[in-house]
Amino acid sequence: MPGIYKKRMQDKEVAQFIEQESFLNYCFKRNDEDIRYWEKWLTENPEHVLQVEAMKQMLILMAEESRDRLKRQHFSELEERIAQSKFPQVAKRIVLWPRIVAAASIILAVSFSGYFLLHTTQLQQTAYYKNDIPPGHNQATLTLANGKKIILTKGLSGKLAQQGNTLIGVNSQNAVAYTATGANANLPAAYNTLSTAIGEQSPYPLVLADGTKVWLDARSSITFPVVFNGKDRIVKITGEAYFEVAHNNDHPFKVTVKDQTIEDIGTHFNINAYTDEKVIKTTLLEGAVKVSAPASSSPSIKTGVKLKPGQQSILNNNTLNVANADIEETMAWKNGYFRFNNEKIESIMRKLSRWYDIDVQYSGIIPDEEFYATSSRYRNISEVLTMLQKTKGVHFKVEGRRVTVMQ
Amino acid sequence: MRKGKDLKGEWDAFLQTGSERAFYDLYDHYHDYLLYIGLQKEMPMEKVKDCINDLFLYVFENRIKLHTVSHHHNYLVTIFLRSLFRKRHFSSSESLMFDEEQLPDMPAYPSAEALYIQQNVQEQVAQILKNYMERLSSSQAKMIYQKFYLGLTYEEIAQANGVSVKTVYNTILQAVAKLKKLIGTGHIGTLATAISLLGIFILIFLRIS
Repeated sequence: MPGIYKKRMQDKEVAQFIEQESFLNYCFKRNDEDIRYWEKWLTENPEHVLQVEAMKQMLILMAEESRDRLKRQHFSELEERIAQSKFPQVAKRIVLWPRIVAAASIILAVSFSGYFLLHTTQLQQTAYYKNDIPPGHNQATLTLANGKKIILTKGLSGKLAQQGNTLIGVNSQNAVAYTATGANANLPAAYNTLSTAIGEQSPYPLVLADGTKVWLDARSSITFPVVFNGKDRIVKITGEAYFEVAHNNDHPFKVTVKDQTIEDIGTHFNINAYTDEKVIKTTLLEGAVKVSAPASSSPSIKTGVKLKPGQQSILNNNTLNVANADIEETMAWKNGYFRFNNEKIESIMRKLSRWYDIDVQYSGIIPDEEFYATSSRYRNISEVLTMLQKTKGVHFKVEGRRVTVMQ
Repeated sequence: MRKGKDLKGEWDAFLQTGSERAFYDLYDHYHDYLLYIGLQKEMPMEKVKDCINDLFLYVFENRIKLHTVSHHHNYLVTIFLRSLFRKRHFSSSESLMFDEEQLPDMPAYPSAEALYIQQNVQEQVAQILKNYMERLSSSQAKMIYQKFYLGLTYEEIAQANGVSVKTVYNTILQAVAKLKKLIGTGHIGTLATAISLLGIFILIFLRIS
């Protein structure tokens, strides 16, 4: 049987079952009538038993995972709001109780289904926190073509601005969207920039004129045309951003960051390109991208590599490598938590310093260990530090905005 | 499946000790139940989610006051519905109780079987599936949750997401077909399949005889 015909057959098979609500009712045991109907059908068509059983199990697992993902996301939004409201009381506290606080953090970390290792030997509790530092929050700044700035915080609605024949506003999906209200083809190119400072993260997805969605992490920016005219759709970013690109075969979507260009066709991917990180990491979740550095002297890097979903490209001055990615770790920022997976303390402190606006100092030998930890982003820094402290040999001191790291 | 009323232990624990574990367990249950009711009442997903978080934020901030509430389930649902339909008065009084009979139960869901499958599925398959579900776009994940976990109809989902029924149908179908291809036929939970197969054969034998 030719390959394509077989593929279509399989898709059709799936559709034949799924399109019947009674089949879904059978799988999820919603009502007796449909359960009886399909059990009878299976006795009459035993050659389908294995296939149906496998599909049922897959659907149930999909139900579980989708629920898990949504609940995690919604709960982390709740946590952020709790943190916002709690802060005024916390500021008055001078010394925190590391053990009790750590217990609460541990419970919540486990619920986030992250990787968490506890060091069981009793370490000297020499943590000293003179004050605490609150977490970042959801805020971003939109700069229009004429330089006017609009601060985006949660809870906005309706129209925000107009750029020529494009309306910028919060849509029914709670995203900041660029919508054409008239013809735009002959207008001069205008660029807007969405940016986040230290301690800020996208409060809404940004929906560009072509339907592409973008989320920004802290200390990041995206510069984009108000309207896409021309063969290529080109945007520029700094820092870290996650894209869900709207499919358009005739107009390739390109992201430029420093010297790297990522070209894709209809895809979900994350780019991490902070200037204080030595490498640019591009992680593909879905679809296909080509990553290249057109100005590179190396011909292979100039041509670039194609990524498959689940892969990550790592661009260093002269090398472009591809590795398998840990998707949960890559997307943790967008889902409202930190996930450290075999990570050195310096890398961890760099990540924390984008969210907590701290000044990091190292006293003595820098610990060489690798850390595993998962922690909500919306907790004060003491809670994250206390958790890190419990896992391995590292201690922290917090005074004002300065965090000192010691062994 | 557990009902809201069964969570009295968690409610009391949270009110008395501020236990974060108890708070999370309450959220774990009510998140799905309240989303179901809200979406069934044709409210958009974002709004329902915000009302649920409003409710839990209120509970978190006011737990000291709430010890006067005797029926936590009725209380939570009442406050939620008030906020959903834009009645602005948050108070700890129970003066406006809704008629319990009017609220639907969630559609049945095979939680025991789900747990069993999760525990017996092959490691590799579980990983592929987890990664796949994590990578889906937010609207795909939402619709799968709404159709498979919450058991809403195609119309209700279309209404909740502001799209057509056809779009919902296509989105879900594509997501399922793609995952099935990734996993391959008959590879899921070989152990679980073998055991349930036994069950089905027994069923067949009983029917025939």
